[in-house]
Amino acid sequence: MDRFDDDTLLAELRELRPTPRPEFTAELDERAAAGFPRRDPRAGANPLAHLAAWIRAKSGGQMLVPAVGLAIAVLAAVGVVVAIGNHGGSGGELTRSAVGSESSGGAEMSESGAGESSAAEATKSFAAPDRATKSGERAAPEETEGTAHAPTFDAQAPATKARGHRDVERSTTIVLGTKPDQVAGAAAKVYAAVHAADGVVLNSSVESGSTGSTGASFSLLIPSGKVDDALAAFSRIAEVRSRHDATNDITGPTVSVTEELRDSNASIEGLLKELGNVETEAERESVEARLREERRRHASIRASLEHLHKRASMSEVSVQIVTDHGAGVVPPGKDEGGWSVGDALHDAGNILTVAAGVLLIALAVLAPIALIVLLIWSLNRLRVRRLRERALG
Amino acid sequence: MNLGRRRSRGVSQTAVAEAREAPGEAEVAFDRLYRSSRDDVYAYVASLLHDGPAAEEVTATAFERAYRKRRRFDPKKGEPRAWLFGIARNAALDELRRRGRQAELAAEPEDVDATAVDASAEQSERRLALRAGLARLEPRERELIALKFFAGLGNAEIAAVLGISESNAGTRLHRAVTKLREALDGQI
Repeated sequence: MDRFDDDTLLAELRELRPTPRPEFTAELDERAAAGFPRRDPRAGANPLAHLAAWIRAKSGGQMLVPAVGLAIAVLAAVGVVVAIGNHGGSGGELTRSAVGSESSGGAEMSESGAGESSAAEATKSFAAPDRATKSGERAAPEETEGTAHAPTFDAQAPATKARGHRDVERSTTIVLGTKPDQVAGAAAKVYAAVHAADGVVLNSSVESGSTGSTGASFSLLIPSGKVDDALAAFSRIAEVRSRHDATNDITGPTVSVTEELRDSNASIEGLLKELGNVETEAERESVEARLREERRRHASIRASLEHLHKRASMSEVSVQIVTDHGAGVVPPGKDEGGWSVGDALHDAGNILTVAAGVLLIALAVLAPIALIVLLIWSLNRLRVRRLRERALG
Repeated sequence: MNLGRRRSRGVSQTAVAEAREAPGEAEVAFDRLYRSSRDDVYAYVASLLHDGPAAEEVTATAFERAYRKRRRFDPKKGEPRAWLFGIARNAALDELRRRGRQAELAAEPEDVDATAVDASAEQSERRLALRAGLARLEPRERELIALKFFAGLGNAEIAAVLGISESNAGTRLHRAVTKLREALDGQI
């Protein structure tokens, strides 16, 4: 046999080239002409069947990567959702805004509360004004029953607190909008509502007229048990522009001061007993001096306790009557039905803001998932490529 | 005028013909690619699998996959033949993986016997020597030989299929041919 020259080698190599069977090429040509229809009719008709066929074709190892990737993506999604949820509800201070519906129409209500462990219970009462009212009633049973006297400072007080009694201090700011020429009438109605609720007007300022900066402001003290009735009455006077409720649980300080007062009472009783048993003038003077000091302390503690009870039994209410949008003010129960271009722009802005917020949240959820999926997909491609090369040997 | 409700008059018979959309640019290009590459793809795949029926199956699968992806092919990224052979290579290697078998170049292609009937004794001897020489090459070297001489790809296309540079493809191919020649010289 002669040595292979270049041309011979190439020619012989080409002669070794495998060629397909004519039957196969004919069949393939037909399929090419038909646009390569899928060979598994079930898979072509039904995506689920196609998926099942694909899963069947994959080995356990091949399925492991997508399965792990899917699991990680789901876990990441759950984590993000939980994180977002926790972020919204965490912290000792809780601020909540809600658009509520008052008797005179839409009213924005924002409520905030801060405190220790008792804050959670206090804030629960924010959710339902009725419950908050009851809390106020419990805080000042004397006022609601009409018994005007100082709180009783008995030793049972702490036990009562432990059973669920809460002392809650409440303050509210409500802003009403009306026409400039209706400020005086609205102010008169505010006075009447305060009177009806047995409240006190600490100070007030009313500027009425048809032109200029007219308006009114009131600083009120309303019995906690009647504050909701009073606020409802204020809401009927004019359109509620905004309302802010704040509560502060003062149960802890009240219990602490009550216990201090009980200790002081016991000290005074002990000193009085000691005074009856003194034998010398010096001892008597010493005990009397300690007794005076203890009584001064007792009075101070009692004053503190009274102040705390007053804070719980009376709610601070600030009422403002504004006329900045006087021309557009709709009296309660009436609807002018006007919808200006400004309103439309405002509504459009609100809608866009909400849409942007939703989009942002969606991105916050989807971005990490997409990143993980991309990473897993890339790693899987690398792995498959490596396995293919290994298959070639 | 409502064209949708207009009907022809005096029509007693309706001829039903298979309605097909006019082939788009991608379809025409793919058809051209299919016709020019069908046998080459089969030759390359059969060289990798050394199994006729499996090679037919993988060749069909490769064209099927390529057809589904035809609109995603970007001519800026390379030659269509290189793209097609890349798909065929992946399909063949997947088949090898599935079977858990090492690739072997078809040292004895199925059509060799047919051509060998009329071949002279010396030709038969040469081909036997060539098959033996090919069997001594590494699988990757045999793949290079198959891509070059069975599929008829240029160095640039081979480089694109294997994911290496063109110069690297040329160097490797030269080494493979040299090694094959040495193996053949050793037999003579």
